[in-house]
Amino acid sequence: MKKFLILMCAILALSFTEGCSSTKLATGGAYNGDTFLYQSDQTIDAAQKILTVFVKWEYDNRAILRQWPEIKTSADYVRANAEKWINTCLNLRTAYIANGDKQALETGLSVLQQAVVEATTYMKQRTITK
Amino acid sequence: MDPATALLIANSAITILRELSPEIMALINKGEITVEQQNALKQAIDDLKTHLHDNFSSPEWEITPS
Repeated sequence: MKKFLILMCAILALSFTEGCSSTKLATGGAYNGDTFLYQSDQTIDAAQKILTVFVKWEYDNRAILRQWPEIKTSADYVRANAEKWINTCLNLRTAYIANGDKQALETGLSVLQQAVVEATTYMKQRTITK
Repeated sequence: MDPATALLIANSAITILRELSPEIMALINKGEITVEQQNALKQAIDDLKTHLHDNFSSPEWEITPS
C-alpha cells in the first residue's frame, strides 16, 4: 500500500506538472494534437484516482488517523464535493471542445488540483514519512 | 499550485520513479504520447462520464459521523 501511494503521488505530480514540459502527441490519436485537452484529461483522470485513494486511505485507517481530525474533515469535504468537481470539469471540457473556452476549463481544473494537493499532502505526511 | 511546491513534488516524484521503475522513466523520457496512450486516456474519460456516479458510491465515499 505504501509503494502504491508513493506511485500514485508520483503519477499525480507528473500529471500536474506536465504542462511545464513540452508534451508531444503522436499523430493519429484521439486528441488530434490538442495537448491542452490531453493534459486536461490527464488531470481529471489522475484527480479522480487520487481522490479515491485518499478517501479510501482515510476510511481504511480511520482509527489510526483519528489523532489528526483535520484529515477526516478534509476527506469528508472531498466526499461531499468530488463528484461535483469532476462533473463540472467534464462539462467545461465539453464546452472547450465546442467553443474553445480554455480559461473556464483551467479554472475548473484548478479547483481539482487544490483538492488533490491537499489530499496528497496529508497522505505524504502520514504515510511516506511515518 | 504554488510553483515551488509543484517543483518540489515533481522532483521527489521523479526520484522515486527512477528507483521504482526504469521502464516508466524510459517512457517519460521518450517524450511522445503514443496513439494508444491517447486513445486509452480518451476511453478512460468517456468511461468516467458514462459511469460518473458509480465512481463515488462505494462505502469509502459515504460521510459518516466522527
